[in-house]
Amino acid sequence: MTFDLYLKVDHELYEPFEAHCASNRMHKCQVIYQKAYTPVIYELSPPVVYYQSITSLWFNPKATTNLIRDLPSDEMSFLNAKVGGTLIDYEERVDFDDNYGNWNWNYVIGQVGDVMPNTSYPLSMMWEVGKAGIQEQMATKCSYDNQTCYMSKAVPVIFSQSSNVGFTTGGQSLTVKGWGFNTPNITATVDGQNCTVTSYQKDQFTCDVPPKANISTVDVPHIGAGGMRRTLVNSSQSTNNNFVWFHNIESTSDSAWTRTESLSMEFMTPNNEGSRLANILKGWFKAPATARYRFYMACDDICKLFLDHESGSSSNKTQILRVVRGSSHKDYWSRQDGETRISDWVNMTAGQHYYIEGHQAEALHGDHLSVAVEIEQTEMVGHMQAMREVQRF
Amino acid sequence: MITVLNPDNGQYILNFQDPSTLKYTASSAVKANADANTFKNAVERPYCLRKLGSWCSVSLEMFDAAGNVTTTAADSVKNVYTMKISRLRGSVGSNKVIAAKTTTTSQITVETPSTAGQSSPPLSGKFKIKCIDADGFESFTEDMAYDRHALNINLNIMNQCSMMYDRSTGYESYTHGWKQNGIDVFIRFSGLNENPGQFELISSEADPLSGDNVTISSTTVQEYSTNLFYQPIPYEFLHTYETKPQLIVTVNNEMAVCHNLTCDF
Repeated sequence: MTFDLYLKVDHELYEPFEAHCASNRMHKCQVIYQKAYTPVIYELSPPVVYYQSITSLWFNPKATTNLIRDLPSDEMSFLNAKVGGTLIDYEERVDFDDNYGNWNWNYVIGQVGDVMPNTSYPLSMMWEVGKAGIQEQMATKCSYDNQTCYMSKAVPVIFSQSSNVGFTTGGQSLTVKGWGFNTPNITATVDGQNCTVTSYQKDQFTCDVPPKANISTVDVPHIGAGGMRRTLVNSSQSTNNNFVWFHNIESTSDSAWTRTESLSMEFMTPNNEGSRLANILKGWFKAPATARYRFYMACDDICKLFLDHESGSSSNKTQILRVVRGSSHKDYWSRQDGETRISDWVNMTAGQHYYIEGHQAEALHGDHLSVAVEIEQTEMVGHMQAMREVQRF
Repeated sequence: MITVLNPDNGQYILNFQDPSTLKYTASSAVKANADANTFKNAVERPYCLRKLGSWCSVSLEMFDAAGNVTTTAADSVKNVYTMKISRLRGSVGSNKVIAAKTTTTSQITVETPSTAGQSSPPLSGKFKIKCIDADGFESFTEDMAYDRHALNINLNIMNQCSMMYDRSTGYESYTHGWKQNGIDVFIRFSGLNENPGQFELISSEADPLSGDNVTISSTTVQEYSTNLFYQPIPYEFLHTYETKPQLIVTVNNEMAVCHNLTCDF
């Protein structure tokens, strides 16, 4: 069979060309096209952002960088990236001479601008050659019930509050500073008591603290806002080669080590933060359904995962995963060290909070940690988060 | 294979001759009565890694005066070290090894690979991937060399197989250490929300894979299923761990995050 092939892009017709398909191989004839000069966004990580939060945009430039030549020294390979209409600021974290590998996964880390809370924002990335496409199957994140999906979502944020202590008599006016409070639909609680909102604006609101019958209970487990508490332990300045590893990750005895706490918006650490460091992530896993769960962990160099099987408790955590050799980023299936990166199944109850803790330590070179969860269910078919197949050969 | 008779505490150096350049590469100094691990440390980095680009393994058999195998170093009158290169090779790494004594008086003899045994033949040739989409349509990648990395294999699947553009991710398993020892890769259908057919690795017709009893298998290690997979665990399933009561704020039913983790109250 001989046929003419026409290509039409944006209503512009390109010259036809002739193609031939041998009669004995007709069943194998196919027309293949590549969008080789359309970069593709894979995902935003974390996809839930807030004003001034840090996030990574993962993308594949395809062959685009071959087209970008003689770039001025003060320009990046891509023009910009946005969450909704809000720019992500790369000035502090991306060098102008950073290169992005053709046909590979790449990422850039940036700071989100003054984005207002919204349940769904599109992602965009503009290059010299035009707008990047989006791999929707990877970029879209859907809730357990599959009712809400987004590529990026912005949430309100608290930066400070005028006091951290109150009185059983109440009556205190508490000023909360942050971003995204320009709506009357604000509810605030302090130690479980409603704090009545008296004024609000974009970057702060005030509320009146109510009286409380008893003083607050401290030094027991409490459930905080969204995310995880991440402690970054940096031992690179140790003067006696006392570097952080599994056995001393909780140690505070070496004054040359630094411990920095920050909020993690997902159970993952940033890629390639440095050498001789460790991460401890602590939080509550809120089960979205009564079901069986199992956890997956991938890291570089080594990592452990702990879980308290009793909801609301943190006193009886048990180790459910231990990985002593690094794998590729999010590679949970690697078995070259003979160890599984997948936990046993765990029964959990909808709405209950289970204490979960991850440790990761890094000696030299690349580093990362990510923990995933599989939720057993059969009712929803075609869910965006359906377990994808993995094949080996 | 290195045999040391009457091993003492003195040292020697092994010099490995390159069969093509005839130049020698020296090991670190090693004691005549060294254990296997110490022997390995003396030869691995200077010779195996730097010269042959491979890790190596060393086993030690010790014999007492009666000729029986012993595990007691003090009783040994003959130490036999067998040194193996982890990476399969198509040619001998060295066919002449000279043991240069520095302080030892032990008798040392060396059998080179020519007599002690050569590597199994390394993998060579080409392969392709047969792809099958959800409708059962078959397509194929081009032939790829045996040493192609998982990322490149995935790239060819993406660009040459039907309906696979931007649908998969490739991972190396590193099971075999070197591609000369075998291919072992994972393909995750991360952008394909359906059950794909079983892809297959197929030896090239023009340049078939060859090596030591080459076997090919293609398996599914994680089935596509209705189970949900969140990687990583997302914000919506997580709350910070605290030891004091908290200020909790919601705006339009969306919880505010506590950026500095200082929302104790």
